[in-house]
Amino acid sequence: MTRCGVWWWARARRLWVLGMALAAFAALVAATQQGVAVPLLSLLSAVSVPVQLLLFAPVPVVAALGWCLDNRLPEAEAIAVRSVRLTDTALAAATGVVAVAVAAVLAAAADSAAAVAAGRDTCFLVGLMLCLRPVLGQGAVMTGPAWLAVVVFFGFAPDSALYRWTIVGHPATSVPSLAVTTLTLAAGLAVLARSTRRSL
Amino acid sequence: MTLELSDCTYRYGRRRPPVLNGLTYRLPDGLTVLLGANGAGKSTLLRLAASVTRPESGNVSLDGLRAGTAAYRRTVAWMPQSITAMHGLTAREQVAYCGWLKGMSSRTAWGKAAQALDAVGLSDRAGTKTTELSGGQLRRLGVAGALVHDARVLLLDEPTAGMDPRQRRVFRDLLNQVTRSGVRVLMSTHDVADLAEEADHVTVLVQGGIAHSGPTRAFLARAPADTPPGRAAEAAYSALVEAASGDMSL
Repeated sequence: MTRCGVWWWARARRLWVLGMALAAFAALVAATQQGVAVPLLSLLSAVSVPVQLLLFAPVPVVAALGWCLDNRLPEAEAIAVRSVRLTDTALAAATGVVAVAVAAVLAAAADSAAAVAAGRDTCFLVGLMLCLRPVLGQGAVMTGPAWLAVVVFFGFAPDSALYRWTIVGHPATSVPSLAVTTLTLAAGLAVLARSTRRSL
Repeated sequence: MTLELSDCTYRYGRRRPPVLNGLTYRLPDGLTVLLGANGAGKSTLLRLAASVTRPESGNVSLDGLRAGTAAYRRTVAWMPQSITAMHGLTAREQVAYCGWLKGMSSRTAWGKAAQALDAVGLSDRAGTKTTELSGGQLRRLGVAGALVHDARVLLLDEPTAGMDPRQRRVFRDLLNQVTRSGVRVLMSTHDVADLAEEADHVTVLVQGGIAHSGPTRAFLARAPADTPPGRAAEAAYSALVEAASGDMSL
């Protein structure tokens, strides 16, 4: 199977890494959706707060997507007639859809809505990473862990509840989180679709 | 097939001086060698001509086609200084991918990739992962990637860097073959002595402006009369750069 352009694109992006990351996401969600928490120190409240491990499930997906998008043939893609930017945008959108779908299936299987929130959080962090790629370049793959670190250290109120600005970690029914996630993902996809000629 | 840059200015950053300043240039027939010191603007000129980037002011066009349009990009091929080896792809796959990106069907790109690799003497490495190629082989892979879609204008940024003398000979033969088929080639190089005498035209850039552009014979005539045999190109280049630098410093 060496005579298909999209296949070459997929090989160039090394999409198998993204596939493995999605599998890791599924495994993490399945293992932690019932409420596995670890105590971590919140800097604002200066007390230890129970942080759900489910919060970290999106990290491999976001990092892998950023890494895959950086595996490019910049000199050829910069002056391409076919727009691989659109293919990349479709990949990012599909990643969000698959993460939500996987989370929804696992949530249905376990009869717990917590997993759905992990899917939504993945979409938010994907959108954030895509928005920051033009500024941070390859460093954008660290967007997920960096945002989660900020949430862990500064996102908990004294009563151990998450502030609304954290977006991630809120229940799946949180309308503000869903709205911001939708906007962030849409903005990220738009940035990716319009980004041009980087790294040359 | 006329590639023209009209009054083009380009700078890397608003506060930096322009690399190209009001440059107007028309690419002649055949093989043109682009000479100039580091930072003279050779790569920038090639990038503008390849439509990788846009000039701050001025226009780039090819027979009326504006740079950046699909028709323009189908006609122009570019090989940059640094060639990326895609992990996981073989040499043939990477060249075919370049052809597919240029709008060729996958089947056509696959067939043309084999021909392009053969033309640059890499057919025996077609199935080799690109990450396993040597520096010289990678440059030839870049040339193959530029040749794969039958462009009418070929822009090569120091293509012979890292090639050994035999590979350079093969490459020069390839260029002769390409230019005989009607393709216009603009190639930057530091290899003044080796290549300038074989080119149809020579263009010399000094500090973002054109110090000389004309037939090779006119370029070589700039060499001082007492130049030893075989050193005419180097002497002519030095004389031109010194004259142009002197003019600019006045």
